[in-house]
Amino acid sequence: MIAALLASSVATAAPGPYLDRAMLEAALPASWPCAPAGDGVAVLTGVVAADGRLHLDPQPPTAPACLGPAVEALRFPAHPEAAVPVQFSFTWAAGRLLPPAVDRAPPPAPVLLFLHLPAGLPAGAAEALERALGLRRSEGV
Amino acid sequence: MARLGCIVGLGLALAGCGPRVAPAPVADERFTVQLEGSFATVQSAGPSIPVPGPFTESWTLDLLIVPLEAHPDDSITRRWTIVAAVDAAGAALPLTGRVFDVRQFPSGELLQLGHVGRAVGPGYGMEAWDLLFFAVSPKVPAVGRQPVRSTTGWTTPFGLGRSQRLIHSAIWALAPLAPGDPPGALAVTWADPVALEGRGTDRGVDPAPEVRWDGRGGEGRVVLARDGGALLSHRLRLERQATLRFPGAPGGPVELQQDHAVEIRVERR
Repeated sequence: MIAALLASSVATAAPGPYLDRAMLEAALPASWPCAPAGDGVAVLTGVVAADGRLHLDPQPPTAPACLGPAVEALRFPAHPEAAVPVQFSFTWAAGRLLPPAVDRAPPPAPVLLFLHLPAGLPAGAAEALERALGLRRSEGV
Repeated sequence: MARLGCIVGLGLALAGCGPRVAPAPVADERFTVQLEGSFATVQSAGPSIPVPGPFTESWTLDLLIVPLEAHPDDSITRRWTIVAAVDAAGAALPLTGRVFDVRQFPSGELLQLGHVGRAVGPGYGMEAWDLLFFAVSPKVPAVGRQPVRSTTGWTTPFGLGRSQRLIHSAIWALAPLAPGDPPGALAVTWADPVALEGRGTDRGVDPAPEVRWDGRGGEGRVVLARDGGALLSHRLRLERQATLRFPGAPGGPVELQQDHAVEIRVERR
């Protein structure tokens, strides 16, 4: 939702096919060339450049080495944003790799904390409420 | 999940036995978690501002829990992965793929919740669904012939200077097995008088808003495996109210109140 809001806010400046979860998922292969042994979870992050190439961040030491190249080889649609932060969540159990999750990397926690808001909030509504409540993020947070 | 103090089942009391700690879980666990909630917000003080209308949520989570690290104090850190999260229409929620690192004692007591700040806001919801952690990892007390009061608490960190702490206190008692419960399982209920209270502050925003939580009642039923005390199911209902104060609102301090009426059903898969 927030990713969609971010995408829509950018869209006002430069319309085009912005990467969303569905487009990211569509680029994932049906099968992966490796299945890490045992059980575990790995979260890989990176950015998708405007040409659709993925640039992975340094991988956490717990991430199986075989996943990195397979992920980095992915190609996504070209899009109008310079760099889209993305996050892959891999989970495997008993040597079986579950279908990974991929999405735009989650944004930092919203300014308006504690008040629970519905998922379908119109774009800009949360920001308007933040202004009405006099909220602004502290320096460095 | 391994847990279990001295719990008595099937109406047989083991009076006088003390709590014992079960071995830390070493296997993966997987649960289906259903979250249903009604939320209503009113302004209780300050110059009028537009507040969001009432709404409901009905979410279903596929939760996978894998052990990560055992600690010298017998606590264990486990990674909770939301493998899938869908709303009532079956549409995927942004919460899908979020990961929490949860450190807990074998009793279920929650010590640390990691990465929760990346799962806050519309479609993520952990500012309200922090009860997920208690629902999946209840601290079940030693229960004998007599019901006992037990208190547990958890701190939900949302980021630097942003957190809230909830305290849950209730009367726990043995309960008969119900149709559908596995034969030989143990059932325990917690119920009124339930005390749920908490506070939170947000020093990430200037001036810092605060939240106070007040319980309005609730009940729950936990079913455990007799061997090892693994959680088989937990169904709970809770009503609570958040009172939020915003001292920096442009027209003067504003106070909002949000009522939460939630039901959570956790079922081992």
